[in-house]
Amino acid sequence: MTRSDRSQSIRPDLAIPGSTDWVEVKVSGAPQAVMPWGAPLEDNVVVVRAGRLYNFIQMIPTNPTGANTLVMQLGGPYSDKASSTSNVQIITWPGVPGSTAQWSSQLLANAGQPEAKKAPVPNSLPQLTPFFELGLGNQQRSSSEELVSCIGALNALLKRGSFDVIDTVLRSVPLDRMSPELIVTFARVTFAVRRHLRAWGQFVLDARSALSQKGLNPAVVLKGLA
Amino acid sequence: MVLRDPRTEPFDRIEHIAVSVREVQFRGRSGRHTGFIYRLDKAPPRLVHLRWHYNLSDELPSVDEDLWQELGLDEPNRVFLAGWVSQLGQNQDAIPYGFDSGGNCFEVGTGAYIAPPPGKGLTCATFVSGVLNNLGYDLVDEASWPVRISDLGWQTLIIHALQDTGASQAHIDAIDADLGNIRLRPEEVAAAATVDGTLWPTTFQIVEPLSREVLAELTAARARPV
Repeated sequence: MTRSDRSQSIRPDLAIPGSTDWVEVKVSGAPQAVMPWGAPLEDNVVVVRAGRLYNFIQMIPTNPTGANTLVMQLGGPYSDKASSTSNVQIITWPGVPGSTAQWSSQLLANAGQPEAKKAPVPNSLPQLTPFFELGLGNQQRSSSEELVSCIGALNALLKRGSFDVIDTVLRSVPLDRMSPELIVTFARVTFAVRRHLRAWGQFVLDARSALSQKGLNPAVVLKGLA
Repeated sequence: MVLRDPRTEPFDRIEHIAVSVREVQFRGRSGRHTGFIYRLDKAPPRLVHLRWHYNLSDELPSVDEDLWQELGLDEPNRVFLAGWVSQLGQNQDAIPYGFDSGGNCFEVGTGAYIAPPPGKGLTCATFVSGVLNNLGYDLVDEASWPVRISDLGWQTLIIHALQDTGASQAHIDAIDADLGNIRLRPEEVAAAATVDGTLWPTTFQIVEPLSREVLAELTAARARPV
């Protein structure tokens, strides 16, 4: 299944907690010109912004390095807009058995809320301290600010030596919806550690293909990364 | 024309990132100095450059001193590079002056300089080329660079200056071993950076005539009425 196949095969039913299936979560209410997840955690509180339609949410359960990754893509009327609003977000947090399912439930529990809302984290949920929160740009352009944020997020993983998580991210990012500069950012920031990454080679191949589809010459854009 | 004069072509025309070059006086001799001018989104352009031993600056460029030209990269790479370079100001007192970088020198995720062995370090010119190399942009073909007698004189002058400005004896002793290394001159690196990126790594044969143009344009700019 290709990346674009996956991103289009949205299932109408809800999440299977802890699975890697694509699921759809509809959130009604007035659109918010903010990130789908604002400050995601504030003193053990999850903030969920209403008013978005997520095309998919991918839950990647705890992996051997002890991290969970949540990939969310904003869809609906926003996905085709060329604006600076980010439409993909990746959140990774240290893995604790069970946290994925609870996080998922927490997320779904907030779906349908008409307004931005702070929801308390259940007592059983360990304190989540996500170290990786990315706002990925839309497919047209990314601002420098977004790229700096992306570099910082990748760095958080690099510093921890979380190569499995980076592999997961490289496999998960929707290249066809990412701006060329964001693709460049992922490729060049991970270039130095490519020997530690199982997904790097395939990522670059996919990146080349995505850049070609955007009318760019991948040999030029990714020059030096052979 | 290789360079642009900010008095007629202001820095706010820079699209993301440029290379700068200026004339300087150093110990009674005239020389050149280079760095990056980056621009994040709509923020004012900033100049990041290695001034001297453990002295890096991230500041506003000088209209009266800094000529500029955009890097020969495509836009996605320039946007990314501007974001990445904006992190370099953290290395304010981290980078020693040296004739041999000692290998890749920046953490790719953070832009933090990795302390090299004694004697190793960067010049203003190898700061520019080193940053680019670190991210997979191979700017110049160093194998094509000649060893020049005049560069040996410059290197000797630098060692004396390091002694006079309080560099450690270990650094002085070790840098002696690099006397006679090839030297990438500031005007050469600036010229190379303006060459179409598809032609990188650029050879000395391509860069040398361009660097003479850079020198001529610096002289002409100095003579031009303000």
